[in-house]
Amino acid sequence: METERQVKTPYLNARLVNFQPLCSKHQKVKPLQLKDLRDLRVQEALIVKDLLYVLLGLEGAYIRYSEGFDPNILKLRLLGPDYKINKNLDTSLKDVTKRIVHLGRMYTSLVAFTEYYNSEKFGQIVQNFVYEVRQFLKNYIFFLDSMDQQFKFNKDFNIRQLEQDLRTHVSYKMLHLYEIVQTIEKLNQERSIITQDNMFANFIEGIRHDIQHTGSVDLLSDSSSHRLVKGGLLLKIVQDRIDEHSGDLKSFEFLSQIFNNISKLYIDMLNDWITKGILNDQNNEFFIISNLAHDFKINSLNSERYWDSKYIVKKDGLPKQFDNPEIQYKVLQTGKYLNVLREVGVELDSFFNERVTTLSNSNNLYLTLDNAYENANKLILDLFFHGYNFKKILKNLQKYYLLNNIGQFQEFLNTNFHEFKKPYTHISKSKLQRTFDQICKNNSDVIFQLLNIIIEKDSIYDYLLEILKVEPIDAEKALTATNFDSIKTLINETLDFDKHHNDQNSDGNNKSSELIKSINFFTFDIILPFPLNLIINRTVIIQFQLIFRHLINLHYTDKQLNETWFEINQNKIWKYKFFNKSISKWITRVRSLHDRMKDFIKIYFGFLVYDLIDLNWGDFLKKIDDVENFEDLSNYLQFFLNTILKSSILTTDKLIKIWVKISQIINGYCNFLLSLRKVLILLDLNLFTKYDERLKGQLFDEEKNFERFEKLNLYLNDYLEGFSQHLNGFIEGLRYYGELETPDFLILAIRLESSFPSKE
Amino acid sequence: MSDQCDGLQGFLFTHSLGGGTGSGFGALLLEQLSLEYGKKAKLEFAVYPAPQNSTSVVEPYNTVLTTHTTLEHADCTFMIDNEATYDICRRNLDIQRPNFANLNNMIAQVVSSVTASLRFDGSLNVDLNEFQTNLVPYPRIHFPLVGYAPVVSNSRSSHESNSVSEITNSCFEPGNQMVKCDPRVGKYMATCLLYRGDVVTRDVQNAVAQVKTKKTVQLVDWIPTGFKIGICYQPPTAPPTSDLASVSRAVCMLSNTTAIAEAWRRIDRKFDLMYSKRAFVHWYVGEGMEEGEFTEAREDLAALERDYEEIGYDQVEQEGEEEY
Repeated sequence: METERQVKTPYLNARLVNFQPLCSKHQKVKPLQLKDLRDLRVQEALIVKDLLYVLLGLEGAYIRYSEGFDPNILKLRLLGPDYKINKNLDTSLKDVTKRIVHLGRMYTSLVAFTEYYNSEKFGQIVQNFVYEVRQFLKNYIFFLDSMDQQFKFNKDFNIRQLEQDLRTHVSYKMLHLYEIVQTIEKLNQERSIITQDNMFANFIEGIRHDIQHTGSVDLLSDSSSHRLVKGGLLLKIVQDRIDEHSGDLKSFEFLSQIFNNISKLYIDMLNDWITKGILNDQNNEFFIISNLAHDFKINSLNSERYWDSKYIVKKDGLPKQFDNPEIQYKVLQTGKYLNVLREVGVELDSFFNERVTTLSNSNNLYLTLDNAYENANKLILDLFFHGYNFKKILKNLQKYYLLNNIGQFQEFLNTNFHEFKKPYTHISKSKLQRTFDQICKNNSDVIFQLLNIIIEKDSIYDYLLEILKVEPIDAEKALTATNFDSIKTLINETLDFDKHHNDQNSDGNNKSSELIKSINFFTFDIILPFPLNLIINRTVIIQFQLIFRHLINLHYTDKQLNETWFEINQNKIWKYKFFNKSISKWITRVRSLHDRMKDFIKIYFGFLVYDLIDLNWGDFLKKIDDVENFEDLSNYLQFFLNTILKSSILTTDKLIKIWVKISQIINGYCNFLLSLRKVLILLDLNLFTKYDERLKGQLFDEEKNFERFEKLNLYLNDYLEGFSQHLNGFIEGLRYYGELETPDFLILAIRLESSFPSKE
Repeated sequence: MSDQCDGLQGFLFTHSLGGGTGSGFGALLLEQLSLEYGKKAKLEFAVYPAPQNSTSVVEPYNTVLTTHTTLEHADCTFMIDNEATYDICRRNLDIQRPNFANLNNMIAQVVSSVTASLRFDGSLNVDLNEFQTNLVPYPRIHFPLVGYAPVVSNSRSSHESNSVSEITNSCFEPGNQMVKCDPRVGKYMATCLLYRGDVVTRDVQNAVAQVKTKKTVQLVDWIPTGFKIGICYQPPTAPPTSDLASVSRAVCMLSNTTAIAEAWRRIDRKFDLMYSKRAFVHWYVGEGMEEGEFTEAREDLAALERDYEEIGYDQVEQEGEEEY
């Protein structure tokens, strides 16, 4: 397999000649026996001559490769040969020789390294390193040449001087390089046997680590490791070595120089990334990688996810300087923002003067990174606020989704009131769209042009309850899973559970007519173009929609109550003054209950609009006025929406359920009252005679009237009781959850309590 | 012209009840409108004769007659009387002899407050219909009292602080009502507080809670005691000729209280005094009216007075079986 490696890849500076035959196998001429040479000076000369060969990685007459070494096997060459020294050598020389032959071993190894690793697949940084090694080897050869000269012409030259010179000029450098090479080789060996299993273990380990340290899973990183040592990993190895030898001035200088030289390309990549948003990294050496297939097409539907996941941090092989997740994040975001700017056509070249020059001075590096981050933030915020008038867009969103344009919306609601009363399956979407366009025909903002009327499949409250029902995947169970497949099963289980649940729901739930009214299904949908959807993403839109749907539901109920008010207060039959006393008493009670309902809606509505939306909106606008950070902008918006969703009852399933019931009762009561004219006519003789011809032959029947009135009373009592009961439940719920988690509920609870004092 | 409106909400009517064009023609016009636009809201701002000063002797007649005719047609009548408004001008604006322009300015501010939420964007606006649905528990009881604060002159505005709770409180002061009557003796059935300008909900709620605890503000027991609150973030503007200072926030109170019955009683008494002697009746008969109409109108007003009384007192007993 090793030879295969050699054959298949043509190495740029591979050895073009055969290896010298091994002495052990092909020795033709026998050297003089050392034991015959008693003169130490001669022995020394011979051994120095041998050493000069050995230092070039060859064999000498008295110093040979050990048996196991075969230069044709790359792995062995990368490790370097072991040398055997003739046993008859004088002990004093033998010690020195033993020390020097190590250099020979290293030399062989380094040469092999420069041959084998000088290939594209190891990336530019490693190639840079190879270059450094070759430079060193060149100098080494020069040095050996001078040694050779000394050996030949300087009669004072001796083995100690050779060792001394080697030690001062060569050996420490060589040792460092050799060790680095060995580390690289060792890591490569290890990595080549990493299997799928290990990767999974890594993945899980990464998640576990994240959860322990940050409390959440970091989706912006990739924990898989490189199969080969390259890029940042090499920098890290060198950096570690620098740190180990920071006390040794000579080594430190030497290593630092190497580090600076080989990190140049890395720095270039970093600079490109933080100043232009370009990821110029063909060999995947940088710690930010592009995650998606190259043929991925951006369109407005997937672009927001695209930007989330296009660039991620690769955790493996980070140079020490980037260990801090905060720094990683900053670098990642800087480039991302710039990338966004590039994508919309901003020319970036002239914006930054500051560049990272070296990685070894961390303080300077962090300063530059901070500046670049700040700059990128400034630019992208500029783009949003000035280029896209983001504030206007937000305001328009608020206008349509949080109904700040209530005049228009009320007109819309009034025109389509009957449409909204129909079941959602019968609604005419085109009619809604037409009237909406008609009413808003003078609006020219972007949001209006993008808005679409949608009839959802689920009513808002069903939808909310469903969202709240989804149970999170059991994290512990997931972490103990042994491979990717079991996670998949787990996710599938969760999905199945939902499906199953839904089936049950639709079977057993005989939906009341109130719930399927199309008002509960109506919403606006909007798809914002890139790059606006970086901030206003799908989640934000859905949150807006939820609030919107709740609001229009309230508006609808409010309107229904108003309409009923006119019926029971303005209609001639209801206003008829001469009903008998029990009936006019009954009517008074009807009006009183109606008033209470109206009050309830008013109070809740006021709370929702003034205390939650307007107040938080004001805060939000103030906050984004001096936002410095792109991420913050998004966070503020999220916070704003979350606060509203949470404090309006929309994230508490118990309260939603009660609310649905209350709204059902109110709407039902209204419909009940709206249908009563005929009954009232039948109840009074005068009215009966007056409207006789309209009743199509029904007779005035005292006895039946008694029954009718009893029924009316019964109905009213039912509604009354239902309303009071649920209202009390609602207030209780508000109190409970208010004390537990959402203090805003308490405000509403107090208001409701003071308006509807309970009897106890 | 009203036929060409895109979204006709209703009509605002400003007229006087005392005499002249307002009472006679106004009532006729209102009747016609009610025939043609039965479903639209019709709000009246009626200048009601003051207890002390009056411009014409037959004011009581006119008032009673007009009220009788419009009772059925107007949905909500905001009452203003000249004397109360004069007083407010004198006291708060330091105008020794207020003229009609001063009064009209005041009334304009009120009307502006009432319609502010229609004219400016907001998230919870009230349309004209809402005034009646909120303020009028029973169709006939539709004469809310109007209060406005702050009423400060330009010269004094610099040293008035005008916090939300201050202006809210001053709205409930008897002296700031635009009809001469004492709200302290009546009971409140419904109250709308329309805030404008730089107002925060929390302040409003606190102010309202504060007002509710006052002994002078009594609420009827049979209606949930919610105060309806409207907020419009557009601050009020004062016309250049006005004596009113431009302020950053203002509140207009519309409250349906039984105290207004006092005003009805007063006018009815005057009517009775004159009618018992048939004073000036011949003028009306000469124009084609019948005496019967006088009695009918008077009876109607008496019924109205009774309605107010009943509402204040005897509603409680019949609510025995209701739970709150």
